[in-house]
Amino acid sequence: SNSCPPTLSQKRESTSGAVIDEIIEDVVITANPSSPPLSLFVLYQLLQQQLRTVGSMHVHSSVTSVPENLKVFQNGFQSNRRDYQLAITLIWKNVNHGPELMVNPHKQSPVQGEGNMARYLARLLSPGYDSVDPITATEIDVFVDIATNQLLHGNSKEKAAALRGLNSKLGSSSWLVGSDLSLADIVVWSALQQTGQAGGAPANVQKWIKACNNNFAFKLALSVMS
Amino acid sequence: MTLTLKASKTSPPIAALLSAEHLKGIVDVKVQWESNTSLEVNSTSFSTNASICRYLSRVGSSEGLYGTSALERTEVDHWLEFGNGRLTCASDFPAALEYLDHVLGPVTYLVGHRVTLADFAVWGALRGSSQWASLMLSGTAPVNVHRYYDYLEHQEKFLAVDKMVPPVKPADGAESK
Repeated sequence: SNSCPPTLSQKRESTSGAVIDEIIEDVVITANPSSPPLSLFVLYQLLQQQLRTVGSMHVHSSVTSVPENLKVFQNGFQSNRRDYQLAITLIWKNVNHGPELMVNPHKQSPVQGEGNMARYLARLLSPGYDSVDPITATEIDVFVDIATNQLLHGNSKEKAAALRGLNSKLGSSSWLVGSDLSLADIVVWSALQQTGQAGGAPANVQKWIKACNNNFAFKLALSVMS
Repeated sequence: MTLTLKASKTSPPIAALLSAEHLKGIVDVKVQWESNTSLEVNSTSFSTNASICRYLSRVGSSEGLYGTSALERTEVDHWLEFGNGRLTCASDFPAALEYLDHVLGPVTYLVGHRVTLADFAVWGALRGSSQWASLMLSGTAPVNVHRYYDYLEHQEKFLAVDKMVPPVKPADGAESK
């Protein structure tokens, strides 16, 4: 389906058609090419619907080469930077504890981890994932934590337990939180795909993966997967 | 409406206790000592330090404990993950501590200019760490982390939570200097 998830893409209201939020954001994401953060590409597509967004990609000298499927955002900045509200720069680099997110180097040290990178990008969407009610926002965060702590970085026992929990949840619901696609689905999907757990996942999880794959916003992420 | 925070006696959720303490008068939370940690809200149950901190701070959002901008909130998330992850993993602890010491060099609080969930998660992890207790006992804790730990420990609300939680036994082999 081509429907936009309501929790992630309610259109900003503007009175005269003029953009009322002049967001000029530069987001730099540094990621290891051996574990591409797929949620980035899903959120990028969702952001493109909301904001004038441009992406560019670079390969750091610590990496000899990247495969073709990782050469995203090749169009880069073809026009004036000021034409865009949001610029995302992706740097492939041998970074530990990544991906790393930098927005304002003067005010922060790098934010680490795909879950947190995804949370930031989801906050740029309107309404952001945590501007809904406290229970829903926190339920989404629980799944983002499961994706990073158990699915991406957990041992085999933790991964198996997480998969059972997902299968149980998806037995009574099409999506992980609420009645539509949310950040929870995006980050969990990314973790399963990255770690090769999608293929052997239990039945309800497989059905949900198919639904994600069919969503327009997953197209770029699917093309990045080798 | 009173929320009940069930706190594990064997593995006290220090960050969650700090959140509840800092939200006194804003969010009504009763602490009950049990075998496992959980916070039940309607038909949902949160069982991790991080999720309980997030939920409580969102309900009491006027206190700004989750940060005041999208970037600050994400920095808080980074520290919630670090505090509940790397800092509680025995094998990663030395490297995690070195990284933390470096970050704390120029700052008083981890995010922005005031205490946030980030500090609850990190201080809470240190307070509950036998490796940290050992470093403190032997006088070999990294300088910036030591300063940060002591500074927060002496704040009224941190003292209150400190009293609720029994002291941690230092890791084997620790000697007092």
